[in-house]
Amino acid sequence: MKRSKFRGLISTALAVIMASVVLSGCAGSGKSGGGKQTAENSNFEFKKDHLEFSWYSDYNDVLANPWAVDSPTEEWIKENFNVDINYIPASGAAGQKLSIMLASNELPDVIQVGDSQTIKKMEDSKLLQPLDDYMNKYTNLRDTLGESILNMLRASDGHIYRIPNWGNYAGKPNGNTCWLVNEKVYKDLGEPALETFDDLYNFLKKVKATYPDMVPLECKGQLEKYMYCGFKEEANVDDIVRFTTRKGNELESLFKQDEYKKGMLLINKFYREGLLAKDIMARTSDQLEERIRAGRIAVLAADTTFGEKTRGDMKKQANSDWKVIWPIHEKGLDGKKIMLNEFASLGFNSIMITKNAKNPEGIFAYLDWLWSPEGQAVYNYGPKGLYWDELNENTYPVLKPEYFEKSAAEISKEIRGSGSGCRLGNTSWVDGCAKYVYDLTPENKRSWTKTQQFNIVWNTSKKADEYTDVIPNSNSDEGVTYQSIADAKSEAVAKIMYAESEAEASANFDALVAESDRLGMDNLRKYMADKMNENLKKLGEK
Amino acid sequence: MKKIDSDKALRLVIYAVLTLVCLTIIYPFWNLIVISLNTGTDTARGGIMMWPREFTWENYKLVFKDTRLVTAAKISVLKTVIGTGAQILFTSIFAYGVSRRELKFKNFYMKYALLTMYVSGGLIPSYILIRTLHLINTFWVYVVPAMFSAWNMVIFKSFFENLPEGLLESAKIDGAGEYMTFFKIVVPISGPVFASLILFTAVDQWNGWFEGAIYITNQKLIPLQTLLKQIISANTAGQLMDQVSGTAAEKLAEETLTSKSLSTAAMFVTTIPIIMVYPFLQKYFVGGMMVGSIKE
Repeated sequence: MKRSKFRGLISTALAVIMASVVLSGCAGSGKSGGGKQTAENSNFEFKKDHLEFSWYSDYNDVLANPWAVDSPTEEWIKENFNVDINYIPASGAAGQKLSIMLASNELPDVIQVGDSQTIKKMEDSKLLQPLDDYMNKYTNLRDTLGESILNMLRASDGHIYRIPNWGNYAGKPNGNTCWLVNEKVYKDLGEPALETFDDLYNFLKKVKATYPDMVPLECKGQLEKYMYCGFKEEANVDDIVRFTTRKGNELESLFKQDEYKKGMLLINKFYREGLLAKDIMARTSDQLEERIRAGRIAVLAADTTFGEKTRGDMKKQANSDWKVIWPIHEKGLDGKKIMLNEFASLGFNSIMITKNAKNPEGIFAYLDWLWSPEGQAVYNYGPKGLYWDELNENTYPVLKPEYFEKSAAEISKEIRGSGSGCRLGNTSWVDGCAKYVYDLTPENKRSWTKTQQFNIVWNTSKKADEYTDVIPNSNSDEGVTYQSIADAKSEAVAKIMYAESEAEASANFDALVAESDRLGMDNLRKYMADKMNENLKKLGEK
Repeated sequence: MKKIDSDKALRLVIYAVLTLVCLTIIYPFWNLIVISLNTGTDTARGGIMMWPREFTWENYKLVFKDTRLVTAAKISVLKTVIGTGAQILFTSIFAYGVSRRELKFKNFYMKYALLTMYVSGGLIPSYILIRTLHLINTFWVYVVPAMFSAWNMVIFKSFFENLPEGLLESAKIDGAGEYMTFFKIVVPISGPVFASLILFTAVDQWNGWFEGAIYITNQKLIPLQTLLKQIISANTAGQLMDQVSGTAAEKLAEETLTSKSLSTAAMFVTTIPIIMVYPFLQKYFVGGMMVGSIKE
């Protein structure tokens, strides 16, 4: 009896479990594929009616904290505008999560993506809400972006589906890339001229002779960028990434440019003479940071962010600081025309409202407000009433004296709290306001980064709108060519640097030129030139 | 006398070598603990070896500051216990079945099961399947898809096939059915294999973050590992945002937390529970329960 009872119990339990698994698979067909159809809600009153929507940003390193929890900025928006946002985190699976959303048509209300090919696919698949009509009702975006940039945003069907994030539409240069010099070493060696590559060479030789433990020259990123730009006035630094350079309406192979060759041969010379870190190709970024924090680098080709991050340790460990200098260049060129940065009107990524949104008009109204001076002021300088009450005639916040009593770090922590920060940046306003605030700030409290940017770095930046989306998608034939050339270039850069003589370096360089031609450089540059000319047409330029 | 001295010497050498090997294995783990208790920016200066140079609890404070931590920990514990239990139960039953010579079509069942180990539909078909099963945004997404493991099944099967046939026959002679034989005879003498696979499965469940990232949007259902991934990403994001916003670049200079210091604290928080459970399972690895059960 006992035996059959036990057996019966197990059998029943297993049967129930199996049945429930099978039944759950048979119940219904799940969500329908098309998503909810959205009707324009013209009765919606922004800032009064409740607005709730989800927002997914396809990046692992974007904050997605619970909305309005311990965040003065978000709490103010929630209280004053009746807005609730559900930020969906990528949780380390960005890219994959987006693929799933697209394949299953389970899109959030707002989606933020960087890859232009993905955006184009979404536009063509009609997954997105056209924004044209809303732009005519809520006009901050339309009025600030202007016709040429709106044209750049138009999809193939003529509608606008995307809002550029951190777009620099006003055409004022910005960027972070720069040359940094160890101030103490520079002073100890007599503050020699440090403008041309010859000056740099002599300085590095002196450093090597005087400080045997110091690394004369290091680089965060691609040293060839700094070298190439130094041999050419008004260069576009990302020619290095595009493998081409513009000549009128054509794009020529970068590898056939004298400036690029000279830059590469100079890198080889520095490496041969021990002026570059010996393990520059093999060391990790942690090791680079260790050297910097110990004050063991004399000249660093990096950016203001890295400089700001490591200045504290430079002071503590080596009683030194970073000095930003004008870009180093070839003798005879105008040093003020050497460009190390690029900026674009369409910014880093785009924000789109999907067809699944229940209230696309409400969402657009919020985004348009977020783009406006008031929205940017709330996120960058705190909610209205805290450190400012009104905007001046230039649309910048009139900051109270209390704002200048605290450090920027304290203010940032205070206003953001545990919030997720601003996901839609109006770069031109933010930069303009930063200058305005900088001028009001007492000199001893001014940001080091901003000082370098206003004095030097932002004067070394070039507009690059014509190059938007010229690099082909990796799945296309041109994309395969691009990747093959990129692989060949990576190998060649190492071979050129490690060459034991200038002749060998030159031969390795010539081999790269030949290899890139063999891999299809002509087709690639024609494809990219066509894209560039399309952009020029949209921009109303030639 | 000579013999005793050489024995002693040999023993000393063996102990010394083994100690060295153990230290080599333990040191990297110890170093990570030290880094988790050291200021992030000081760690970036390099040279942290045996002890923290700038001792701080800030890395752990940030990890524990998140109010979702307790809920996430509960989810992790539940999914580990229930998920492991379900997988071991169903996989072992299946393995026992296919280990019996008399089971009809057992080759077919084996091949069908092994196919799942080699072939997968990929991420999107998996998502669509999970959605069709109404498991999206539910706790059971951690349990149901993981209820069978082909790999563990193979291990169980190999073990069960080596059990003495006489033991199982004697159970049958005494009137035990298949379930009784399995639960009352096979399971108790399979301690080592059950303990090993329970541990591996539990560690797998405990470390799993992907399901929480892909199938769950309700923040109250994410497990610890997914939450910790978000915390680490958030700290990096916070630093990046200040850089891009340009209004608080100095924050980078004042910031002492780094992604690395946070990762090590997070790693330690998630490793400790597993380390605490391990000693309780260790005794089942050692020895056999079969000694004396059959007189050959």
